[in-house]
Amino acid sequence: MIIKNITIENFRSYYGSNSIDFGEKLTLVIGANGDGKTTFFEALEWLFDTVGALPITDTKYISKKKISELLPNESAYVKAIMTYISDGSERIVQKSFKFAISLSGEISISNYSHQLYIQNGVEKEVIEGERVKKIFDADFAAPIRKYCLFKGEEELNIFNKKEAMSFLVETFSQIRDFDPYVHFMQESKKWAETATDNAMKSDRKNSREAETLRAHIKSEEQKIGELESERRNKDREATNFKKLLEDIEKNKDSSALLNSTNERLRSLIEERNNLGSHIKENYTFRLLDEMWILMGFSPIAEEYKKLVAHIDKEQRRQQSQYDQELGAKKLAEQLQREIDLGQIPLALNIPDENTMREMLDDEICKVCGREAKKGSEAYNYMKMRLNNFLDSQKVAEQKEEEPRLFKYEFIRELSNRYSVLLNNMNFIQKLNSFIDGAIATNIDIHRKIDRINNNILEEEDRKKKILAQTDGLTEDQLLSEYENISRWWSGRNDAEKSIEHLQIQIDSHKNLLSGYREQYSKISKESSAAMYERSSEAIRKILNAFTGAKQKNKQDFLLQLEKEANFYLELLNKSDFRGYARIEELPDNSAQIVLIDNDGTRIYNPNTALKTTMYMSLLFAISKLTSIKHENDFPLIFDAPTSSFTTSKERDFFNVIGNIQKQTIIFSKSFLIEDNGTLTLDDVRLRDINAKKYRIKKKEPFNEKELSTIHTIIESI
Amino acid sequence: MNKIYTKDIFESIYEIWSRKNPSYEKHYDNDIIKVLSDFSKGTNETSDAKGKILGAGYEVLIMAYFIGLYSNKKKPFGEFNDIKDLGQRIEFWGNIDSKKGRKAYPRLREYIFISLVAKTPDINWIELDKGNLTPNEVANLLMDTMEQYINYGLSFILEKMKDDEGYFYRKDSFLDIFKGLTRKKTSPSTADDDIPDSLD
Repeated sequence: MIIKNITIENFRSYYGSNSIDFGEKLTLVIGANGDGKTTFFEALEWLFDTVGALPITDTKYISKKKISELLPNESAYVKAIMTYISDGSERIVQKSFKFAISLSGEISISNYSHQLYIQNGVEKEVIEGERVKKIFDADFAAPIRKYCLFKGEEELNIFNKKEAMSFLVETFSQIRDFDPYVHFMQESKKWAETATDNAMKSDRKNSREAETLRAHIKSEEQKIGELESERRNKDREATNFKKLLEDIEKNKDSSALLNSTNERLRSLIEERNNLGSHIKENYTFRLLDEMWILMGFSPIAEEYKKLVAHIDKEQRRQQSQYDQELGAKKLAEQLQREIDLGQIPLALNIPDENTMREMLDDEICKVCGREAKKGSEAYNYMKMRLNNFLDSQKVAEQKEEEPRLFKYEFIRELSNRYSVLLNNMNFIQKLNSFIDGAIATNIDIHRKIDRINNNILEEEDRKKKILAQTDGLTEDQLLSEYENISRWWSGRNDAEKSIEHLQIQIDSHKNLLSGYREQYSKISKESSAAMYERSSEAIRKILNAFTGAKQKNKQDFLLQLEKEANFYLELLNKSDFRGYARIEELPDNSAQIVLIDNDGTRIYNPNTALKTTMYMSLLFAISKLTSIKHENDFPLIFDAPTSSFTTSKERDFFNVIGNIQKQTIIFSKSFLIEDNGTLTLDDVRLRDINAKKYRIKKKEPFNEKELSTIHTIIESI
Repeated sequence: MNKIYTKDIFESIYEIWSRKNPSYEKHYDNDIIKVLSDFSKGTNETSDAKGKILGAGYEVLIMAYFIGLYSNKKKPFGEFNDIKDLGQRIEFWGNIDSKKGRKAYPRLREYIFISLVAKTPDINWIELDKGNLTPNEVANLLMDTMEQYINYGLSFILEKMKDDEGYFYRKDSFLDIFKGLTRKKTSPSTADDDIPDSLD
């Protein structure tokens, strides 16, 4: 939206019709105090109000001068008219009402009208009633208007409004785009989990276990919710105490004494935190997590070793006996076979295979020393013996098919486990001295921390006293101030401790919850509910992805906003100290913008001009993001934003603003020089500023005690 | 040597055992488990901000088990006591999400198994390998030892709690117990009535 022209008629000091044409960049309206800057601004507020924040008609709006001129039963109009471009067409929005004066001097108001004209080519469409509000709100949305009109320097910090951050995030980031998906996935998660639960209930085998787990999951979810809400409360509490202490500190920001105390405190706390991070004395968890609980395991490992060795030995003994029995039985069968053949019962393997082959090659029986020519009976007998031996070997090879004594290998499982245990014996044997060492280290660190803590307490007390010191306080007042500060101090510390404690509990419950979910998922997958569980799991993952992306989007948006704000902050403070503006999210979903020094410390008390430029930078940044998101731009209108600026600061400021591609309207009392009691324009300074320029002033002559003589006129410079 | 299986999938005793849940006497839920761990309890009780010294309920059972083991004292369930289990199989014990400041300790399960084998000498492993005993029967015998050690350990913890309500909120409570149970031979001066006699 670009404002082309605003015309005000008979609105308070604006007697008759008064018009300003606006440029697409900066328009500067210059006027001294009481010349009508704020009145013009208020006429705009009245024109823009579509939510009933201001009365629609009011005798206060009427020009006293005009009233004084009216004859009885004569009437005139109060009007505020704005011509603007939106959606590529020219539009005019107008508010007006008629006023008249009776014979008895009473003012009456009538004919209130709120109209909008849309120029379509040569035709002009007139819109009245509720539709005006609808169309105008679409052109220049009410919530956005809040971030476009600013009266004075105080209003510029938009984060003073608690809802500002959520409004900005909701309106200008992509976060809303996620909502339908997140909502859909939340619903889907419920359906899928109900389906899994129902299927699990009908699965008799796992139903009891599943029921227990479901109860655990539900209870953990509830607990996490409660703990998180408690933590939010504590967050708020800590923030409140912190703010009280910060406010006091702000006023002492320049105290060298305070600065050096802060410096010492910072380094002591850093040292303590550094030492503290090396303390690991959650011994109960270490008994489990680091398996310290195995400190007495050596004798048990020994018992295990003896037992397994004993079982193994016994098993081998039985196997050997079994093998012997099996072997003896086979041999007996073989002998019987040979006896049946009427042969000498010599063992089959005597002589051995090689000897028998030699005997056949040499044609000699080396058992009896007689010749055994090829083809003779003795030769054939030797050949038969060799074949029988070879056959017996085949039987041995087929041994696997014989019935086995041991069908399973559970004893081997025990032996294997012992081998693994043996590899870890070193860990178990050294565990006791390791534990003693770890405990001694912790004790040593504690001693050091105790010493630092004493120093911290002394420094903190010094700081509280510095903060309590204010000129002109009696000793009693000083003491009571000191007590207040001490109370806030411990309030903040207690809240922070609770937050830490709650966070540990939350983490531990989340851990349990994920364990229960994993188990539930595992038994579901083993049951008839497998298909439902797999769907639930997929949906849970998608939901997590969406919620994660939503959070990331919010953070990215705030970072982008911070980056843009710093771009403008640099521009507006070119040759000056500026620090870095940081947007911090607060626990109650609001935010604050603060200045940070190069070393990362916060600057509590920047000068007003720096603060103002920081707030304006944020507004420019928001406005830039608005124009990207809405493909539509909105003007920024400021009433006296530079009151605290020095002359040179002001010159730089307007030079920069005049060159920003953004419709900006500033009402200011700058650029006026007093000369013999009259104010004249500082043409030299004004010449350099790239803007449409107007001067507003009271038409002379006027009587300073008589409002009905006041008539503001607007002159183009 | 080829393995011979009667089932399609060979399962180790360890696997069969780790799918079981040890039982304990039901009264310990309120007496100990809910006091020391984050084990589920009524939502109206959650505002009790007293820090839990252990995470999941099974962590109490592990502590109790090792107390029984190192004391070498078993205790059968009381004849008239109801028993229950946590509904959490041993195979999940120690699977902690390492991102949450704790470390997972799944290997502790193997040590528990080893100690159970060592402390259940009556199991006839020879007959098991011969197939005259089922793996489930053996796993049940191991569970029986486990439950008896746990039951002794829980009664030990309860006694401690009765003597000193705040005992377990001290950071070295369990550590001291285990030091007392496993190191008394080297430091006889720390003899304590609570420490049971050494195993023969």
